[in-house]
Amino acid sequence: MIHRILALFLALTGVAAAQTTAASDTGRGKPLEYSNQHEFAFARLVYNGSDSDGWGPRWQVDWPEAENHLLAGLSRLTRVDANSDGALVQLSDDTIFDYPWLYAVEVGALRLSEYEASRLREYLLRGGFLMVDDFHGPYQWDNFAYSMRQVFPQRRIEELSDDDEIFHVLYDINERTQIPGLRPLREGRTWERGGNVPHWRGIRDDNNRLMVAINFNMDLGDAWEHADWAEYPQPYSAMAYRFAVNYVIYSMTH
Amino acid sequence: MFERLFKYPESDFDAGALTFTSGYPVWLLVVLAALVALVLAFSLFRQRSHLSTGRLTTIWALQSAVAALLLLLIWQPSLDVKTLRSGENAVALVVDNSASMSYVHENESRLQKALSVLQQDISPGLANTFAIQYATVGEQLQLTDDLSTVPAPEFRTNITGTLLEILDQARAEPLAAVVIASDGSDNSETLDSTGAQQEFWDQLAAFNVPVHTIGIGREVLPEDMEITNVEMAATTLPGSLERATVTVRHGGRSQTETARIKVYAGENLIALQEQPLPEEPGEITLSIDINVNEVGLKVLRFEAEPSAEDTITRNNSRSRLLQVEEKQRKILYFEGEPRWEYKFIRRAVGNSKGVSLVTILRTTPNKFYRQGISSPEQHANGFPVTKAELYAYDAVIIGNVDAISLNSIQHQLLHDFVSERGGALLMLAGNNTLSDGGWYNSPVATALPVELRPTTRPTYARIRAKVSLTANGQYSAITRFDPDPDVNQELWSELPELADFQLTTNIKPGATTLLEAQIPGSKHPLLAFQPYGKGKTYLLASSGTWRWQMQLPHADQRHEIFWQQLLQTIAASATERMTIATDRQIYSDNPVVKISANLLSDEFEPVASGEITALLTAPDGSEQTVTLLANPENAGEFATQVEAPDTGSWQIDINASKEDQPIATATRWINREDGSAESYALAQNAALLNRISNTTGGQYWSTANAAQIPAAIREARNGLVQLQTLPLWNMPLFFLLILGLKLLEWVLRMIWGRL
Repeated sequence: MIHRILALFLALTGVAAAQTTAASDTGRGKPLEYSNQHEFAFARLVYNGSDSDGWGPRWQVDWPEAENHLLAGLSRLTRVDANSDGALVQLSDDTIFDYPWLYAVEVGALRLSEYEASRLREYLLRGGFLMVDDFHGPYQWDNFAYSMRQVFPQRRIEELSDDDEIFHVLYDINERTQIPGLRPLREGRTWERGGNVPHWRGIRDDNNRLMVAINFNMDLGDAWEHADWAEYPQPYSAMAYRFAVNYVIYSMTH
Repeated sequence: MFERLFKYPESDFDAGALTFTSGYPVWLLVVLAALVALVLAFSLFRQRSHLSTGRLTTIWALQSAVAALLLLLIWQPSLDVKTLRSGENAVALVVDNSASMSYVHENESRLQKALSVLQQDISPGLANTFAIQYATVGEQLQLTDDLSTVPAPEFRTNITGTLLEILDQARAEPLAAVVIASDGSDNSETLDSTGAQQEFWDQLAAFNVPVHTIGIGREVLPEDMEITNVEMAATTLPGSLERATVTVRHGGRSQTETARIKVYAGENLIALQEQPLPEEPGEITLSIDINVNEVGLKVLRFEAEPSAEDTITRNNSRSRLLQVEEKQRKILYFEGEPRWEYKFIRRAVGNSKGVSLVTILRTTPNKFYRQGISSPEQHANGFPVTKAELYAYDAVIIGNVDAISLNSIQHQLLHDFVSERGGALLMLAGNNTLSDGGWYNSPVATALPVELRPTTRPTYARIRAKVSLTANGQYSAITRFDPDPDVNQELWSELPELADFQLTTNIKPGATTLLEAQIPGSKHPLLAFQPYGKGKTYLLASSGTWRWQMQLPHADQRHEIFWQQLLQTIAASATERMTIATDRQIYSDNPVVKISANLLSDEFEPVASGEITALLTAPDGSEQTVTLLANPENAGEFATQVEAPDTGSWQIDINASKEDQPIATATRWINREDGSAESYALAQNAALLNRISNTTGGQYWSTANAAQIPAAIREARNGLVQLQTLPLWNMPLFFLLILGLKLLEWVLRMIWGRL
């Protein structure tokens, strides 16, 4: 009897594993299915938003190479059982609550409806963690800050100090440097859109835990994505990986 | 009638022995009787009269019988019998004058009824034969000259103790019997302790004096409702949900439709529970959950709402003390890799007042991330390797850790942590633990509530599983979202599915399953536990309860409540280094407090040579210090006995030390109250009275047949006796027989025409 139950159980498990395989990258579009068979899944927020540069939907920036590279590194450097493929989620989709880690890129173009803001608020209050990246300059900051005020009207965005636990949870990152995108690097600078000074900021919950890690005036996504490019300096990629690993470990421990 | 014919009472014949006082041998009587019969036969049959042989035989038989009887009288039959020496034996007439005897029914108190029976039905019947001693029993034995004046009611009844005292005092003088009229409501300590109980009964039987008990009062009081018992823990942790089990004696539905129990902390109503009563009188049990948050002593008062007919309302209430202790139970959580379950467990119990969680998380092959530690060095190398390190915790949680991550010493340590230290172990599911992680080869496997077996296929899968309560789970403190079982069931059924599940094979025979996981087509154990050695082991066959938190609105507290209750319960079940106890919490009309303590070393070995002192603080603030003495027969056990005369709350602070080094401290509270003990157990305790009389060779009597007691005592012939030879030759029966036989012969001869 036990063997039969085990066989049935394993058959069901096999079906689930097959679904995972089907959830692999289908090109530049959104994967049709994604069934996570690993502990950690890198969920990228799909949102409405584009900028005036005509680059199309901003959530797609660096996708999927950024997370594919990062997740390989995460698996190699830590004991996190990470899915090698990332997931794509929308705030209106209930599956968002199956991914306590959420990454949003180019949030200077983020536009949230009231409903989406309430969904993001609920996601974060339940214990979800949001990392935002790759937005620059005062204009994009104002836009992002506005969105966050929609989510948490009463919570302030604070600057994270060197001794914040998020910079020491795995790697001791005592010296933080600005992580540039590839395009400004080609133009001989580490900043873009007037965002000269990098800021690591955050929003905390009532128990002083970080819910949102804000990487402003930097582009960690590019550093992950171009880690295998000769022209992208290795020290930036290494630092970007360390930031990301710490963020992931922090999100899974706090 | 018997005595008219046989001259003496039947009991004399039962107890006596027949003898012949003439001194002639008995065989001669037989021979002579035979000879006379022969002579008579020869004489009758020699004449050859007109009578038939049958008629002649009848005449011969009648004449022979008369002759045999006359010969018997010559031999002087008599009865050797032991009789009580008149006036030299005593009977103790004892009346219970405790407060419960003042209970009035039909315009007569129990005491009045008892005195009436003793003075009118029993005393006169004994006066001619026995010296009568009078006594009253309450808390103490009091001897009196008579029962015309009875001392003031006493607020405790110690029938058992005072009986021994009566019998002990009577060792030097012959005591034929003790008669005690009582309602049997003994609230002394003699019968509280199982050990002392048998000793008492043995002592009572050894005196060999019959004790006759007269049951006073009704065995069922339908108009009275009483809280007979309240069971609950004496200590708890802040934020816990404590369950009190209240037993209520009731008079059935004729009294009231429902039992309504209120719980007060001071003047504040903190809980209320109702339960319909059955038709017939009896006892019901209610479970009441009490939330405790603030640290300190809580005096809880449980009150059963009285009906209109319930005149004794004092027994509708009972008090209990609940100490909410500030200390935190320590739990070590060792996790083999970063997992969402780890995060959400930490978040769930982060604000729990009673639990301190230390976590070791293996983030990389060479790094342990530690949270909740007290120093940077603590657990820097991972899982503890010494008893002192591990035994400092009350519970251990093992996450997704494969067996080879721990060495053999650590496996044995973990096993001993449960069996020897009395700690609790919770194993969580994972793709690298339990069967999939090779734990079946570990000594820990023998302790777990499920059997672990080698398997070629993984038993863990990220498959959604629905959770359901088992019958045991419905009433467990771990799985209680709501005191109402139906609401609780509903709350569980509404929970989102688990993120994963691990299939376990057989639940061990001694294990209890609280939760089951439902995968398509079948249900399997999800949360199970079993006692092992001195401790307990738990298994949660999932690491996906975090989905409850992420899928439900953030205000929903079910995930937090589950983990807080689970961790508080498993940690609270662990043995503490010092446990202290008093023989009770509430001392009603009894100032003697017994304090005991058990002391263990940091490796949980009994400490035989420590010193334990108790500082008693009276309600008025005065203090006294007593030393608890070590029990030489039981290492680690210390005890003492103190007096707490004043009513109110007494604080007992215990300090344990060894060689001037402090080991542990603890505080207990007790409550002293007077004038309440006799309000409880008001119905006649006929079982106790029966047992007393049966043990001693006496008899249990009701007031209706108690008048037969004097005869019963006389017949028992207990006490000083003398041997008497009672002559039987002049027994009326003999003369009536002789006369009757001769008259019959005369009548027959008249009828048969030959006079």
